[in-house]
Amino acid sequence: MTGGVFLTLLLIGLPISFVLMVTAAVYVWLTGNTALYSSFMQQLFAGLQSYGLLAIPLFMLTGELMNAGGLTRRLVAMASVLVGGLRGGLAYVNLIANMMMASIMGSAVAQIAVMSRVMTPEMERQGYDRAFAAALTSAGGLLSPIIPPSMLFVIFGVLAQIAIGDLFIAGIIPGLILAGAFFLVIAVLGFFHEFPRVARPARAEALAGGLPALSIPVVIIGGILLGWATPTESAALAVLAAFVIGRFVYGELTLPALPKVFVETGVNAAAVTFLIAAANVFGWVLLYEQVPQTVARWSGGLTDDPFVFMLLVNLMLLLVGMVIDGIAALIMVVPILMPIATDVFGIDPYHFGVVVCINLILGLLTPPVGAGLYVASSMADARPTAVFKALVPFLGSTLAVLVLLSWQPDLVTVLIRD
Amino acid sequence: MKVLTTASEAVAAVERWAVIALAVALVGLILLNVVTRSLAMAIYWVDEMAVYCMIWLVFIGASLALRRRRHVRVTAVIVALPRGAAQAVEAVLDAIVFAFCAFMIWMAWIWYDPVTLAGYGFDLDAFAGATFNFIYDEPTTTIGAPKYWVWLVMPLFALTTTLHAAANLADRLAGRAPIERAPAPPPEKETAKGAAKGAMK
Repeated sequence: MTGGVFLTLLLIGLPISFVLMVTAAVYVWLTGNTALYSSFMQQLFAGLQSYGLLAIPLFMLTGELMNAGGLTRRLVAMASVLVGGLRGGLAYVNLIANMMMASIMGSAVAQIAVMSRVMTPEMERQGYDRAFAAALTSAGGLLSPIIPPSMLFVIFGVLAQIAIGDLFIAGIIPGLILAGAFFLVIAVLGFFHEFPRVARPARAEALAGGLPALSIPVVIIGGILLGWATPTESAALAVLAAFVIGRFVYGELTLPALPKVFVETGVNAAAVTFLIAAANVFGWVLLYEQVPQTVARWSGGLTDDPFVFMLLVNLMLLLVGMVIDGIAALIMVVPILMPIATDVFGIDPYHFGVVVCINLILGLLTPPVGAGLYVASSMADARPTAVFKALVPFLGSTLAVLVLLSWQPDLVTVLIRD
Repeated sequence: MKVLTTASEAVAAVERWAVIALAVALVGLILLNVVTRSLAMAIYWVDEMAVYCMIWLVFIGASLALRRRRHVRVTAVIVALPRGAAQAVEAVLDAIVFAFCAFMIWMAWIWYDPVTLAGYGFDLDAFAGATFNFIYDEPTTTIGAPKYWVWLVMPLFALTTTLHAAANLADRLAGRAPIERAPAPPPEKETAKGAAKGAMK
């Protein structure tokens, strides 16, 4: 009954946070445990009482300030100087710029939206196929959940109660492997398709112009990796840096533009974070119905090999990710799967987190509800099916990387093992 | 029902400024923390204060997001429905959200339980002893104010979301609300451009 309510509300399109809260309220009613209603609101509040969650609005604010202050544009120009002269140069530029962006923006969809505006028209102008340009740009967005700062990592860290800073460090090698795989795909495609080569644009200005903006990823990644600031503090420092550079170095960030930046950030961050509050009351259902235990028995009957279990989890998450937004899916599945992964199969929580986060981001690019796919297609004015077709090699290589990471936990955990 | 829309927009305008103020406060508090900690003069209450700022930001922002229909949802089914059916489903969804928000007012009411509290002459100990509702006894860790002040954002959230949900429903029934459609651009136009593209290559 409760499961039926949950699925129905979810599929007909009730906001997911409300699906979680309404299901919990219905469940409380059905089980007659109505005393819980008086602590319902407190439980919602308690779901957010975590220092790690502070990083979400702050990282989002950094991204918005960078766009408004002209930092994003200059970073892209800088990347195009660095690799623009290679055959298929702009394709590499796109990926490198995406890696830089990934170190600033925590949200893949926001990143795809920004990069689609900047890179896709430019690639098309230089003679790349439009669908390929849109596909490459959105594939670049796949890097965002792995390179710090990542919303998914922050949320996974909070849900699984593990150190968010360490999770970021654990994501470095997988992020490099994934980026390497994408470079390989471009090189192979370029071999068959004769990508255009362009003269290098004016070097010195673009390089010098981008340097101040480059301090943002340095602050964020350096702060977290050197253990010199918590992810939350790094995020606040990045906000300050983005503001100062946009306002005083580039002079593009106007004070009248600020309220809008803050409101947009606030609303977006609130919509995401509110899901976590709703998931906390939904946790009652999982707890009293012993859902993790049931799933554990069921999966224990299927296999006792951690690698096979990880493959099953990947398969399931791919399906879930196709219909549910990555963050929402993460919030719903982690409380169920995490205890099984760690307690039954002895999987390292950081290993599990990195694989799950990469997997769920794939859903952004798959029909029927791939937000990233639609954003990239509509910005490029290309058909989603054409973009999806061009995306297949990138999605395929991401799947291969996922299998590799599932098989070799050391690739994830080696950097955080003391 | 225009009055609902007007009231909801007025509340949204206040929420907009609250979101700005809380976001600025949040950044300020964390930066203060970084500075004082690096000077080895860390202020002990800043962390908890920042977390409460974030939570207020989230609930007020989530309320504003409800008015602006910005909450994440699964749209795969609704975009596949014919227009009329999609319109009907959207109306049902708006009604469910409204009903649940009103229910949250009731849940916040029985939690704060002001009538019973008044019955005990606002004697917090007598209230807790009689009802086993310890809302008024919970302290904050470092701020020094009782937790029920911080928790006040919850009844506020219940009230503002109920208003926004009512306005959303009224807008929907009056045909003023948007319907979610598939985001794909028209195919004919695209094929023409795609062909031109192919010829260029």
